[in-house]
Amino acid sequence: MKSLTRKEELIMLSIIGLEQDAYLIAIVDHLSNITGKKVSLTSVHLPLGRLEKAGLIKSQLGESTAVRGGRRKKIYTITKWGFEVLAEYKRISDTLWESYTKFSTPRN
Amino acid sequence: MSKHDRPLKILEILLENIIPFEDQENLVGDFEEMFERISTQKGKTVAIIWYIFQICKLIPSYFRNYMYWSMTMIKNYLKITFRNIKKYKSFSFINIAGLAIGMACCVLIILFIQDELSFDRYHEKADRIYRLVDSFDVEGDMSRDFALSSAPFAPALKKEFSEVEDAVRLFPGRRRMVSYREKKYYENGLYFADPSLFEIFTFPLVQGNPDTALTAPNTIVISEFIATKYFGNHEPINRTLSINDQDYIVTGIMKYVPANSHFRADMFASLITLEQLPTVQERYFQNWARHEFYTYLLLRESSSADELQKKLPRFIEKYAAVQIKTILGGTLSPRLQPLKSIHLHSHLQAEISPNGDIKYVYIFSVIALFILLIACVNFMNLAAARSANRSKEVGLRKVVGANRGQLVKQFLGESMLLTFFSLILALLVVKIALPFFNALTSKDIALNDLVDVVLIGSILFILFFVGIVSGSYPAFFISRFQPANVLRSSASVGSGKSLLRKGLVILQFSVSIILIISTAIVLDQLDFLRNRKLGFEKEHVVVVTIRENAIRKNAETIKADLLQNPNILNATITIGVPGGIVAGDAIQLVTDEGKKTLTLRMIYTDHDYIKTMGIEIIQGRDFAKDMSTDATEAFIINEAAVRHLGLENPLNTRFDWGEKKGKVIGVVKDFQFQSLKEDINPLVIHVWPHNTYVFAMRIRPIDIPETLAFIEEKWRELDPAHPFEYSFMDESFDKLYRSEEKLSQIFSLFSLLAICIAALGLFGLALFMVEQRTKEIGIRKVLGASVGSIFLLVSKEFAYLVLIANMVAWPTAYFLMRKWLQNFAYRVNMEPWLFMLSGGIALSIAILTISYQAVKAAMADPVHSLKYE
Repeated sequence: MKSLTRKEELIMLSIIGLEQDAYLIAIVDHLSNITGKKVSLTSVHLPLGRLEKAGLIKSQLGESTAVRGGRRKKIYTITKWGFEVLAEYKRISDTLWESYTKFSTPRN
Repeated sequence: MSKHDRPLKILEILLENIIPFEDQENLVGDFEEMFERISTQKGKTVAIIWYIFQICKLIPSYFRNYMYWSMTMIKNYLKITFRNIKKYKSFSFINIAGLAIGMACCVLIILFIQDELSFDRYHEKADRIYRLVDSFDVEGDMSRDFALSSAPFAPALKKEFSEVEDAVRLFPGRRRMVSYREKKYYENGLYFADPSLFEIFTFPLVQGNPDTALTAPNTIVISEFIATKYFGNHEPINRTLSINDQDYIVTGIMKYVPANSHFRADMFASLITLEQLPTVQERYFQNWARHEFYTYLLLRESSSADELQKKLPRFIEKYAAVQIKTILGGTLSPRLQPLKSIHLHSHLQAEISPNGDIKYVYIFSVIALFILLIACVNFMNLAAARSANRSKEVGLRKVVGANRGQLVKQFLGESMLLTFFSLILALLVVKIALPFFNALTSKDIALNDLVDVVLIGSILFILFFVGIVSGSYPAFFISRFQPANVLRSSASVGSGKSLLRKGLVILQFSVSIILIISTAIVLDQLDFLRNRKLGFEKEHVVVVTIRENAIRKNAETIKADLLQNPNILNATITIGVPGGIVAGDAIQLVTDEGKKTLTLRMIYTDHDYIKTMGIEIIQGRDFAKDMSTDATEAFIINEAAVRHLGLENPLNTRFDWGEKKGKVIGVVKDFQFQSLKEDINPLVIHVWPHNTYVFAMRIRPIDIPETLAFIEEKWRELDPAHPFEYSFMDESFDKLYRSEEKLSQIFSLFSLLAICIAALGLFGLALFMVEQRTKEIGIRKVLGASVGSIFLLVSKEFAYLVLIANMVAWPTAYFLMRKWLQNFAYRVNMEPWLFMLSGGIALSIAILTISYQAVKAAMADPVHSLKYE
């Protein structure tokens, strides 16, 4: 079982959320929109490399566009193994969060 | 957005280049998108700054990446290199061994040259020291330039010219007997010197005061070596050494005089010891014509030697001209010779000790370069031959993305690595060979004191030179292969370029043949010098130096005594035997018109000289004991003198030599009384036993040890005080050619090595050729070719290359050697058969080398070579 950092987890979830347009800048934008904080390119690029190396995500070059000087984007998608890891994380989190829910709900 | 803001093109290119290849496109795109965004939000300037900042942040990772990949490639290159070395063991051996020998020769020659060039540089004031040498213009004498000058020069020059800061005179005390108690030896390194010696030259004293060490008569400064030799562990200062039965007090100990000095001294005695003797005083120290001293001047820093030299004629006019005119009958022009140029550039008469020659420095440099070239050519040749094997590798590398630069780097690196291995091997060889080389060159080179910038620099130069030259073929040629061509066909691409290979083989063999021919001619010339008709018989003459005045006085009785032994045929006392220095002396030719003063070479001897030396009389008669006037008024001259003086009827020509007035009673055939490098000078021989120094005996060539024992026994009775010492005349005569002898030995050695390296290369090439043609040879054999015809097939290809090399080498060697031979007054003809012989030797070495491969190929069973078809 591959262990994920918080950042990696967020990045993987963003990739799922962005569907077909998950390239570096989109992921950065996505994350900063949700968190409301500035996210640097490096802090996303490096985990992407690690995740790809671990086989949790994969990448391919997209279509070339007029923007970006005609250069293609590197589009990331989650692999099957990535989904399995995420599912496992979700199960663990959900289990753990359950007690939090119990705690936070006032029991009169 | 119709118009996109884009970063500056140059920055974009920069970024593209520092981003790792696999991420290049999308990351540059990402940066550009960000740039555009920042540019619209905050303005273009901010965006550019941001962009530059990003580039800066990427630089460290760029280097990390670069190092990583180049390390990976280097690892791969190394692996391939080692695999190639292992796979082609014989090729690698030929390459490495050839290069190692070549580089070892080179390093040795560099050591030699460096040593030659270092002569006399160790003197702190070397730049300002000049030697005063004299050129005579004297009637009768042909050799005019002398390294010597007369004694009054030094003090007078110092007084007359403010440019002269100091001056020193050296008087050589050759081969005197030095004794302390029972220890008695003949020493060569004794010089009498002025006290200013230590002021001018850098001979540091370990003990004693350099300012006063040589001021008093009968004082002496000795080297540590001499101190230990005579005094052992005792304190040497103030002890008394006896030299030729005179006592000298040791006032100083110096470190040894370095080997790279144009004179080697172990002892300096004070010159005042001689100067104070009343007889010597007038004859030597006040006489401008008596050239017996070596004079060195130390000029002031601001003054120039040229300027001083211009003033010398006036100086001579003022002080010396009259005396020289009356004594020698001629004029004298002195000149100044820089100390640092003496060893390599000075070839005067009566040099203080034999000098080197700048010519040999050049010759050896060229040889070193030649040998290195031959070794490089081997490397290139084998690389070229094997290019076919490597072409597949190159093709594949190109297909997977190597660019030409990388391939060039790879091949150059590979040859560098091999060169580096060879260099290590070469240095080992140098270390082992150095003692032999020292013996060969009579030098005293040690590696430790020579590890300096120049040597390391030149070794590095050799490394890069050889590495780049020998790697250049594969690097620049093979790397050009088109991958499609080399990968598609199995035909070898390299073999088409055999023209270069052939050219290189021709070059190698031309150089080798030139070296062989030169060696042969040098040997021939030496042989010629040794065996040339000298005009006297040099064999079987025993020479003993006279060290006791009584022997000179009783010479006639001693001779009679010695001749009792039937094996002693003749005996004579003389100033010296042929081959030694024969000085000129002033003599007056008396004619009807009056007297004319000349300087002619003169041999002082007794009645038996001409008989003992076996010199032929062509006119008149020899000295005879029963003619009482022969001792007092007879001269014998040589043919050269007859020619020079233009005497039509030489007999009875009248000469005055000081008080001795006489006439010519005979003429001898010209004989070589000096080195064969010189022409025969006019010569006068007369009976004058007072100036004799050696006792020469002609012995029968049988029972030589017994005869020598007899002479020794007699001598011990006559002169018990001095150790007995003898030499054979032919040996001392041959010594005159020692530098040529050495040259010939070194020449032989290096040409042998050159041809060995060339043969080694040829061996490799033949090996390769045969390997390539295994199948062809197999098929030929199956079809019925004989062993002989296959042998011929393989050998003829190389044989004609060697023949072409001969055509190149002969004229080149001819011109080179003609130049060298011009150094000699008497020289051999360059016989055509010598050239043919040398060419033949090269050819047979080549064929011998190839034949191993050729025979192996011819004998091989075709079944093996064809079984894979």
